[in-house]
Amino acid sequence: MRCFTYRNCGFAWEVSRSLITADLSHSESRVQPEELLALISKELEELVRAADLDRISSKFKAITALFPYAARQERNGKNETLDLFLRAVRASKKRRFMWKRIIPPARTLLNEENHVSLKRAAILVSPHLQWRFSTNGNLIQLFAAAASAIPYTDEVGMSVVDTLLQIVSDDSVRSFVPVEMWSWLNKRPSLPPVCRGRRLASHRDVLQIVQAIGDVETLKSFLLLVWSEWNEWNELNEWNELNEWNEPDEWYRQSRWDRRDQRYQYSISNFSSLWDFTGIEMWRHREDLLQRLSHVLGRLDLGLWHLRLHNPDVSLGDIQRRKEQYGALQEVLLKVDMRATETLIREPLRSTIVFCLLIPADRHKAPLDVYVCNSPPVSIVACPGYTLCPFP
Amino acid sequence: MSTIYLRLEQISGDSDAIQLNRKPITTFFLWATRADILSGSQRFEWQSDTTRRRFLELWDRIHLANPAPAAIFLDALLRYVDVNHGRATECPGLEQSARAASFCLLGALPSIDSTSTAFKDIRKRYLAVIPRTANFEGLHCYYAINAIHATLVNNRPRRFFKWTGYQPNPQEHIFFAKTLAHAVHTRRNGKVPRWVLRFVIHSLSNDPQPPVPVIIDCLSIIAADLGCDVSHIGTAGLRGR
Repeated sequence: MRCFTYRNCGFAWEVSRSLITADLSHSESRVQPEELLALISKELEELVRAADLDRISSKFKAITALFPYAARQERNGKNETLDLFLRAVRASKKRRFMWKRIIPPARTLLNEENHVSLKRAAILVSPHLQWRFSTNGNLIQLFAAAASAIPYTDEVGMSVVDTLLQIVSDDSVRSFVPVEMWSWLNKRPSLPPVCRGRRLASHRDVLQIVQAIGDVETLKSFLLLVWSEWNEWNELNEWNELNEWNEPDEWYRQSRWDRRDQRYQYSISNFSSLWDFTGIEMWRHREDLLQRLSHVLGRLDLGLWHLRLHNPDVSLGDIQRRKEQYGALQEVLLKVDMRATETLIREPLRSTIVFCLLIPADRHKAPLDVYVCNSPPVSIVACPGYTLCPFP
Repeated sequence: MSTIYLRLEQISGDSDAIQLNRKPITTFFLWATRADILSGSQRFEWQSDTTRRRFLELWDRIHLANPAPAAIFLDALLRYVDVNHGRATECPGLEQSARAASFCLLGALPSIDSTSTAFKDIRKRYLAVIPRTANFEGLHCYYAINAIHATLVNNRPRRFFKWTGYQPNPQEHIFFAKTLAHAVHTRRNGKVPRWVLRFVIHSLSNDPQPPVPVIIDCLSIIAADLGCDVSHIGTAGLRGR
């Protein structure tokens, strides 16, 4: 396309120009970007402070449009704009907050070879992008490369894990995730109360994908991340449930809330088939998972008021459901643990050497009742009145 | 002509005289504009640059909300652009004229009240020649005419034009940003159109960095959409850049 030249416009061009600037003829002042940025910052601060979700959501396109400028400021060493932008985006608590039109600029930032700060900016906003539109997987590859190229911080870890969980919960793009990305789960960053990735990944399909990786540590990290007082286990596809346990007509006759309750009951009844922590050698992981469940249930016991301090959307019904779910899950794990113990006790001792390290029960740390090492085969059994502790 | 110029010189510093002579000044201006934009290679001859500048200053003070220039620019645009079976083409050899006309029209439109009869008349004349579903791909004035189309056609098909390949030279970029910012600041209702915000995203993402006036206009568009009161600064300072 040829460049536009003003020779052909002549006077008409100047007329047009004068039309544009006419209403400003009274003003001789020259506004600077900093002044406009101060105005925008003030408005965003107010939006964040008021926590008016509807208003923030209605401005999502304008807020998104600020991102390229915030990233450019970050490159120049001024991170206030990006911080404010991120606060506004996080305050929205909305799924897929950022406008899909931001994906091309985000791709460019992730691909910046020489500017780590730009990559960092793109990584920090990544949980708010609409990853479904990265249909060729190139964006996900860039994301993975950029994540490994920037220094690790809690904020970066949180963003990467949140994004990773979002991507794997979407069956249209999850195949593009590189295998090495899964190791990010093992960093176990603390996810925020409102975390889209954790909520979306709390379903059976994602669990099966993580199980298929075949790494127990990754599976445990995944469960430790998604089990939270802020969300419950969900079934991904209501239509699958429909086929499994209900007739369509009956399904439609039910109210939304009835369906929801039944869905959770269904989930609870199927917990035992979801986890594979039944091996005796899994005791250490069971301990970590049981500790996590105790922590979650303890937080839920603090009540609605306490949880609403961090997330006003939590309801009493949510807490009740989560208590039921995580309580049921705890029972399942305890049963598994108990079965493993029984199996071990019933099994003839195969050990060549038996070590017993007996300590008083008051120093016992639950649930270490039995420790078995298969290679070489060693079993350790506690005497009555005593319990075991791990070897130093 | 010299008498007219002399008179213009005389009244240029007198506000009351300008207001009293609004109509003749407007008539002269429109005649000059029409002669300029429709004549192709022939230019309207001004006595001197000073006279021309003085006249523009006069025009600045009286033209507000005058739809006549937009009508002239629309005439020019419709003369240079043809639509066959929904596909728009430029008359051979007149591509740059079409581009100039489209830029001028884009600049003139925001100053007209969109609820006025004049605006409706412009829209009617535009739609009589260019259908709602027109495809402007391949035109030299692709971006400007799409912006005009988006401004004039309310219920246009949901087929947005892309800014992806938009790499203007700095001067054109400044003009475009200024025009859109002005359109946003003078809008009477509703939010900032999506295509304008897409322009903002595209412009601010450009590498190398766009000129400072473009950044200012883009930020002012964002501020306006966020609901900031930009009336006291608006796009002040744009003048004279």
